[in-house]
Amino acid sequence: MEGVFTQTLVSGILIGFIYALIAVGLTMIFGMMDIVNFAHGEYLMVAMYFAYWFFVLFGMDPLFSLPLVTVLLFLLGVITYYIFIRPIISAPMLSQIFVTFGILILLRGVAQYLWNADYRMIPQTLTSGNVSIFGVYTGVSQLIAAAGAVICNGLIFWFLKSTKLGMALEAVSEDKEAARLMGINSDRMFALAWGIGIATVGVAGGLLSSFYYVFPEVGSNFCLMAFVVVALGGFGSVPGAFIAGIIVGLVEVLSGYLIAPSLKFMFVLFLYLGVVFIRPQGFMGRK
Amino acid sequence: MLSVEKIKLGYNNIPVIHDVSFRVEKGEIVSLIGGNGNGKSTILKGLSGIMHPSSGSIVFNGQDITTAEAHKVVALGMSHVPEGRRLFPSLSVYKNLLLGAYLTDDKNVIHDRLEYVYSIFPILKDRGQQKASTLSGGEQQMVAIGRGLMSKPRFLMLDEPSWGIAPKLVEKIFEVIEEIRKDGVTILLVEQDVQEALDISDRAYVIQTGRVALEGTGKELLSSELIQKSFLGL
Repeated sequence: MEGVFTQTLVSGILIGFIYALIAVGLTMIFGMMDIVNFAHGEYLMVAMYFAYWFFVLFGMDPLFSLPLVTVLLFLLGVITYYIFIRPIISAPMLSQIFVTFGILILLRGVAQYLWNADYRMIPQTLTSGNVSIFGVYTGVSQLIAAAGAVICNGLIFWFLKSTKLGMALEAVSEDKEAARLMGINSDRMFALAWGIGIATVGVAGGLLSSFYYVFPEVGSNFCLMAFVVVALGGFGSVPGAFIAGIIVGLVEVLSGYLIAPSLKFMFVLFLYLGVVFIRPQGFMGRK
Repeated sequence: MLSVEKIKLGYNNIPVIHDVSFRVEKGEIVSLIGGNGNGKSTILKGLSGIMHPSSGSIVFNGQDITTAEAHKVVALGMSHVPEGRRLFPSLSVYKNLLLGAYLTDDKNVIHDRLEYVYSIFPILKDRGQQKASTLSGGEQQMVAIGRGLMSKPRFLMLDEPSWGIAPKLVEKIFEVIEEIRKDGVTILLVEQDVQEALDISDRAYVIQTGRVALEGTGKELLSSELIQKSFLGL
């Protein structure tokens, strides 16, 4: 009994790292330009399909195609910014919601059209199988995915805090106008934020593809969790998203284990409601 | 150095500035004075490229910058310390200052600029690692001016440097402005503290309801009836 409990805890933390990684991109884009990317989960789906097709067509293991998928998603993020987001950057919030929601429908529709609604999975990867660490069993893929997510989150944090470009991104998210007065080209920073934000969800998709089914709606649930993570951690806060990701992962698996698997998301959303009522800015968000 | 010809500026098609013209010569301190809501800050936004005039022209150092983007204008040597200071609140004082020198990658230049700013405001050196939002109003104003100087501007625009700071510090800030001018920086000042502003200004323009109501040297304006009645309560 106790073994199962530890097992559950570990799997909660592992999935939490992935949630955190998905959420980081979302929170970064929001923090920079106050735009909520409703299509975030769809970029995850696209990344997973990329990884899937790299495997099917070229026999590339998801671990090896990961850098490629990341770069492709970075470009997709930048392109998305210039084509769809830039024209609505100072538009009313409702227009912005329609645009990112429109991207969601577009990407899902394209995926259904090209690859139909089948659930697909990469049958055998380099990281298939299980390992036991201190008596806790876990999939190697899950473990690597979690480690990758932690590394990627760490890199983003380091980038923001210790590089000049990261400092400029933070400056734009704090005060766009003042940043422009410093000589920062805010337009280019927005494009960069979309590139990085979508690239991180690309990393998450590439990592997930080695142990998770891919289908056109796969993004919706992950994205919902990412929204909860962003709201809990505080809109715009990268470290907040990291902590909140782990909490959401834990609440999800623990309520599934202790109460009922079918109710696990309900408890995540209860937690979300609770935080929103008591501390609307999240753990580490700005008011 | 700067010549502004009949610019019109507005927000969402509501005109705020009507055909304002003025000039600033190299080495001068020029003030735009007038009460709140008369469009002084809007003029500065138009100059630094945050806003663009719908007509008229702005020429800076022989170059037309009427429609230049803000980040390009800084590179030309114009620096704008905005109204309300607009620091990056959750970044440290040090990072705020560094961002002022965003356009240069030369470590020596950045170091020299930092030393210059610390020589004017020594307290900023001690406050380096503190979050900008935790400073007092006066210290925040020092960071704002310091940040504006980090780009090594030839032309510095200060919007209400006396806003929200202790009266004792106001005097200090105005002394600093004169010091900066001595170091070869031309200054355009927007102020509501008319007495202090006119005291240090070579020339000034009185802005009322988006128009130039009066212009003259600092001394002339101090003794003018309009200024004495409207601003100095004499």
